[in-house]
Amino acid sequence: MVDFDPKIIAFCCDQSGYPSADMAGSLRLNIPKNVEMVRVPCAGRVEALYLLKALEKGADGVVLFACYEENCQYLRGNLRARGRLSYIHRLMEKIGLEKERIEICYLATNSGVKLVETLQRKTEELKRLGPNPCSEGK
Amino acid sequence: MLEKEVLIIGGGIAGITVALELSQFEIPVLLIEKNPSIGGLASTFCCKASESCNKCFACVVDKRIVEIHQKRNIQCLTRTEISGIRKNGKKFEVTLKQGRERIDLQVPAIVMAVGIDPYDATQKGEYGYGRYLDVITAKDLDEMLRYQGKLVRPSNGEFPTRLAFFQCVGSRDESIGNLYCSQVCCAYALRLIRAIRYQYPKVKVCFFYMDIQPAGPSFESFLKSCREDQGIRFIRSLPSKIYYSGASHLLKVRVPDPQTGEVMEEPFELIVLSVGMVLSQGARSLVQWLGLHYTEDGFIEASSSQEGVFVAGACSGPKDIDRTIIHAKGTALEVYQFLKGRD
Amino acid sequence: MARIGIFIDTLKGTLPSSFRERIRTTLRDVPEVVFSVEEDEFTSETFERMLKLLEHEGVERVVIVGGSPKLYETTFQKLGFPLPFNPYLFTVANIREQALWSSIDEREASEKAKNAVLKAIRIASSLRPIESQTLPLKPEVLILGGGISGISIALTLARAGIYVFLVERERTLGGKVTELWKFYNQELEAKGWLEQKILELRQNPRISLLAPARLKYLRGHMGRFQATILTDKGEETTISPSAIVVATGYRVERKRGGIYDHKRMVTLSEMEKLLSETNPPFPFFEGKRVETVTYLLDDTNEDIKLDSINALKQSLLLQGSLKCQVAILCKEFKVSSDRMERLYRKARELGVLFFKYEEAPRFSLVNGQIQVEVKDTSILRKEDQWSVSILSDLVVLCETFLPHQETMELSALLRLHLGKRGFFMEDNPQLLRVRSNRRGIFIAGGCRFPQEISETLFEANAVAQEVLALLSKGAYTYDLSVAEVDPKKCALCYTCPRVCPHSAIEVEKYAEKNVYLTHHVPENTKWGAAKVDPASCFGCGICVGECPARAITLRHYPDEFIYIQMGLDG
Repeated sequence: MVDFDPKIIAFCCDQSGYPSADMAGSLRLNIPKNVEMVRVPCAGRVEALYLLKALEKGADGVVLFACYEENCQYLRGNLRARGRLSYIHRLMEKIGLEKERIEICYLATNSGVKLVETLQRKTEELKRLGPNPCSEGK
Repeated sequence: MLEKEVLIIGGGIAGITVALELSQFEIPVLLIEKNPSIGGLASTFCCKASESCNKCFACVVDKRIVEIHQKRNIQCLTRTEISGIRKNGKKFEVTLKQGRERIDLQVPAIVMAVGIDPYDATQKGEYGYGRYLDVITAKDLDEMLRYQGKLVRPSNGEFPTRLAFFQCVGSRDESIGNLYCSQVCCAYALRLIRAIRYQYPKVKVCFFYMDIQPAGPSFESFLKSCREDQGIRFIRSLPSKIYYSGASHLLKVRVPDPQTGEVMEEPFELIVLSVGMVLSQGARSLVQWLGLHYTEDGFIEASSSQEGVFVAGACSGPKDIDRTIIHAKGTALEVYQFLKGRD
Repeated sequence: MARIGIFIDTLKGTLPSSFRERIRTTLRDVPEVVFSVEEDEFTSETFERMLKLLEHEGVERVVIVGGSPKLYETTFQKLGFPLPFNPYLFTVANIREQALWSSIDEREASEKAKNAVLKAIRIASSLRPIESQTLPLKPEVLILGGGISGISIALTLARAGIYVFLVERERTLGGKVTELWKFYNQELEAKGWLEQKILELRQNPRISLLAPARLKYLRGHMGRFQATILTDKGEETTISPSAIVVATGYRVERKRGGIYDHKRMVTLSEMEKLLSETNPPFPFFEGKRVETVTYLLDDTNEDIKLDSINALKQSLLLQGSLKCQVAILCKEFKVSSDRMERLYRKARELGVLFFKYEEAPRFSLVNGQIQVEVKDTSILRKEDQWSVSILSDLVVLCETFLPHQETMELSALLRLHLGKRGFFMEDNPQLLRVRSNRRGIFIAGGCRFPQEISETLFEANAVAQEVLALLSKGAYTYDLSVAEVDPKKCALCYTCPRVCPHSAIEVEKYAEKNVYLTHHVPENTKWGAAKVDPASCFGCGICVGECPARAITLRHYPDEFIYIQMGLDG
């Protein structure tokens, strides 16, 4: 496999993802370097379109951080996000793009360690999958 | 001399909740905490979700801590303790000590939110806490998961696959005089177990208990999923002693087999003691100075005989985070009614 | 071109100088940056200096390069003094938690920091100011349900100066507490205590009691609800409360069929009634003295503590003063309430027998008495576990706790969520037990989760506190950091009102133009379109993500903001 630093877009909701990222920092854990943190008020704000656009414009992978079921501050945002993700996965299957590139990970406000482990694992997975075959200009 | 309406002693979830509620009435509040940061015991808890939220409320505490920093009329002083309180007419004269500094304060109302300490498991010598490295309390385990994110045997850093949980350590125990149920430990331990087994399916747990206490409206379905989990063995008996085998470096416990009734010695790599709650050590002097009373179980009597003194949270009796928040909101209401009634 | 001021937080001097150098070089090349200064700490003095500098330079947009946005956001909120710029025009480049602290080496950290700073500048250029609004709240509350929760909240609110409308379905007040004889943890008879409370309620001039009556419609949102109440005489009244409390309680169902219909099978509430009878006084049942009473717990609800509490309370009386023999059959004995462990020990000392069962006990009729057969699980070896037969004069059963028959209808009228078992509200910790999915509507008591009366009263106090806190200032001030529908683009697909978890979106005739209109319409025709009530909106953006016509924007997290963060605006 070509050695490259996979570009990951991490959607972090203000209630779980973002505080966990802060906690990861305060625990001095390493967040992989090509991770772009996108702050949203709730995972429910993340439109299906954004997930696809991320891949279209060159990201190798996307992680959607959302709250656990029955723990969303806005009650249903995490479920909405999951539904949109399933829809995107079906589209990706149809066009032959690896589903594993986009993933949803559930965490809480205090899950600093889980966030970092997920991003590190994703980086490794994407290194194995290879760079995004369908980013613009390729 | 600081001018405040309410002094809240204790920056745990109870104190924070009372402060947040009172700030909505624009009542100036001073919250003091003896530790370097606020949040109390509950802020050291890890998220205990398995495939979905298990309602442990640990994340709720983290959110409240952020909220409290946003409020204009709440002043938080950490590393601060009380060196003296005296009642002077309708007000309390309080001397605070922050390091070497001394701060004087006069307030009409005081809220005791001093919280609880986990029961000192070294008192149960037969379990070997403090002697055997691999016997830890549930709180030790919680912190290990929150701050390190991994499960290890303290003795050698290896990954343990055979765990045992002992419930009711320090509660419901006539021999030590704790004739109360600490109420939260069953749900707390089971949630920890489910979270651990979700992340590490190879871990097998033996759950030693007396009676499983419910917690909240989702508990029935949660308990059902625990009982259906093949990796958790429920054994309704509390072991009397933990043995240590120097040869295998394993801990041994005498376990009755539920089918045959025979008692066998089983090895465990990590034993977790679910310790109960006792009133915070530091509360004693405050109780004395304020002329408060103890309940028969050694907590602070909430129906305070002292005018202007209110009690919030687990220091008035065992509570989980959920009930603590509810009670604390009620305490804030009492304080508000008291302050308004004086005007 | 936007004019931006940069403040670099050296984090009490801990920011390495190589970092500061890197940031300074980066900022030099950015034309939007009007000035950049370094500060060691962000105290209120720092902010005052900052604001003066901004005013002096005529700059409105601010980027703080430092730690977590939470730090500065909270400080801004706490400041209190008027800012010369809109608080939504500032953004933070988090170079501490997300660069300095979370990188392997300084090179990686400084790369991350540079990216974060540049991104923050682009964000700051695109930010739009957001205003705040105030919604007046008059001190009027509607309480649905005249049980102990409703009564308690009504009294507390009325004493604090709030006008309360209490609507109760039945003619009498008190709900399930009318079946309670004594409290378990204090020497107090419930009847007199309740009557006292009801009297206080009726006499309180700030409380209007409507009973028997029920809610017919609810329209509107917090601050301006419009509730239509229908009395049993067919009269309709409209109330406009600022907030609503739902305290409608629960129902119970007893097991029916076969031996469960036998007259010697009583429920806990029936037993409560029997014990309180004085003419003839218990323990006589049908003329004969009751010798043995068996309680069966945990076969219907496993998470309710109330049954164990009542069973223990009754057993202490039966075994203690009335000299009966009591046996309690349960799966787990629930001592996790105040004083229960001590009462449990007392019961055992008095001779109450406790049996923990796994298989359900069996009942049969023997000479007019009920024989209860249960396996004694205290014996370790399963094969040796014998069955114990208890010949009982009375068998006391638990009833199943179920949502009140009107809960479903109410949830539709009020647009509230129901949980998995049909009670109000999903079990989401973020709701803190007393809140509902809608702003301004609160849930209290058994309609959420049936509990012992002391717990219910604590919850009622918590609800009263929330209501008082909401209404105390006479107004609700909020930022317009909410969702907004562009009525021109709305296709009236009704997705957003259904999707909004907070029921904050409704359809109203207020649009003047619409892109879907293909024919000419007369002047001043107002077209229907979805409308978000800004005071009830929580700003989550779920509707934004669902709208097929992309007609909804979230003011403080517009598409632009997200694309810039994704690095896609280039």
